[in-house]
Amino acid sequence: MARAKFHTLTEQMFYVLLCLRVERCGIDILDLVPELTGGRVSVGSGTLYNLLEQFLDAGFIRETRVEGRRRSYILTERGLETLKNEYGRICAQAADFRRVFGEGEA
Amino acid sequence: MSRYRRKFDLLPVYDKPGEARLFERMAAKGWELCGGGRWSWKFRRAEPAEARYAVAYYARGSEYAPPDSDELAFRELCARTGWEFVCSRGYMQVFVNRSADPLPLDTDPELEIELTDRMARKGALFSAAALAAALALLWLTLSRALDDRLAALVSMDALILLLLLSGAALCCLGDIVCWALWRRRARAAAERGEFYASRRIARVNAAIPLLLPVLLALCVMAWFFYGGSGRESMRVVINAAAVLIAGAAGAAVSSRLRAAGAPRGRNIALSALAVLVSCAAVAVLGALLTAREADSSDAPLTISDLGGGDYAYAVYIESDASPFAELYSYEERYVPFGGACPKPAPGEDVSARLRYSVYRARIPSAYPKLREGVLWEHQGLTEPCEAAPFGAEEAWYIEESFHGAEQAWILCYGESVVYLEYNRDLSAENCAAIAAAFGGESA
Repeated sequence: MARAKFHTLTEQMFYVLLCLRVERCGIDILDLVPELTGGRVSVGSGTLYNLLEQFLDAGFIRETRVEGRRRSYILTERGLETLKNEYGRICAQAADFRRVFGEGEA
Repeated sequence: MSRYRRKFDLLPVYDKPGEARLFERMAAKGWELCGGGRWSWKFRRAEPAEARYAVAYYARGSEYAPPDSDELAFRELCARTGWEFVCSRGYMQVFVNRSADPLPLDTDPELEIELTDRMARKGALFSAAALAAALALLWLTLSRALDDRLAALVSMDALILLLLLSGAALCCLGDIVCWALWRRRARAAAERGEFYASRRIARVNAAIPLLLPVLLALCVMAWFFYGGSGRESMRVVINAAAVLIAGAAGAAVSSRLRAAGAPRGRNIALSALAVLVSCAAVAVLGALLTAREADSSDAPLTISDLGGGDYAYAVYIESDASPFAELYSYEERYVPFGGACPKPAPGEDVSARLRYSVYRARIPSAYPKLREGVLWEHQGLTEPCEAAPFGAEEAWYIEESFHGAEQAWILCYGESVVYLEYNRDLSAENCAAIAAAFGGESA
């Protein structure tokens, strides 16, 4: 069964929102995500563009500046809350893992 | 050798990987993508190259408007990861990347499926609406054919309509089924974090629309081999030309206006106008080319043959044919208004009225159906009469037919059935003329 939209975030959604803790434009995010994750995660341009549109519609981010065709965005309270919920979920998963396998395995 | 080449695009909306594979294959053969038409892609000669292509959907993209600033911003974002914009067609944007192992345009399967499905759903909704319309028309055509089996048996139009509507309904149904299958599998794959490559479903879906041109070709062949007169064949050709010319005119106007930066609304309105004007122009031209006065010289029987004088009555002729049977209808009568008939001389009798329909079977099994159909149309009114004077195998007399004729006859000649109305008493000579006209020998 498909999950509810934004109930949980995919890795790419998570990092895009994370990047927008401070005001950034799309191109900055494209560069920052691989940098943040040591190259483990990259966001494709098509995916990023659509994610930004969906986050705007959902009220997770807002547009701050338009310079020519370059638009900058920043996280909203709602977006921050979603990001924190996701962080909490990941932490809970990590805690469950540690409880099952113990600290040494982690 | 031509520098440009076009390839028709039959791939379904959801087969973005299929489109990319096509462009990559063409690039490797030395054909570089350079533009998109309404149903085709345009390639130009280039050095064979290994290049990665990707198709992205920009939902607000339109073939009726130049790219807006968001669309240009999207292309700029793609250029940042090495994806250069090549061309667009409506909401489809094609990009090329010449590096060996580029970062894909789409990296989130769930999001990619959601967006692709949004575009594919529009196509599926259109198919569903077209399917409903085709089924409704099919039902209407079938019920009309069942109500009037005789007309259906001799009508090529009814046969062609049934064939084409069935084909259209099958195409729409196939389109919806393929989309639903793709959607289910693609969603399941996305939940596993994978992109779904739908080669088999997409190929089947791409092959389905080919059914229509095949059916159309069959219909045209049937028309030319079994159909009506040359004038009717010409009408078919002109109608087909009207559709093609109107489509081409609309596409040309739309493309020029888009290049000139015209707003979307104006582009749509002017393109629609171009379609209507070209359709009307071809229709008028067709009407002028095929217009012809009814020619009674080929008629097997006229009032004059029945001794009704040489007055120039108005003549109405209709014919129709199918691979099973053909119909020839003839009517000759005095029309006192509109200049259809010359003014009769004082005392000239112009009261004769002749009307007949000849149903001829083209395959032996159609004859009993024709006979049964003609008799059924006049059930309760017919009484057997002597067939020998008409040279017929069987004959029936009708006093006051449903058409208001004072008297009529149904004559069967083995492979044809004749329904004949004549408002004068028939002499032995008249019966012999009728026998000679319809293939019998008067006894």
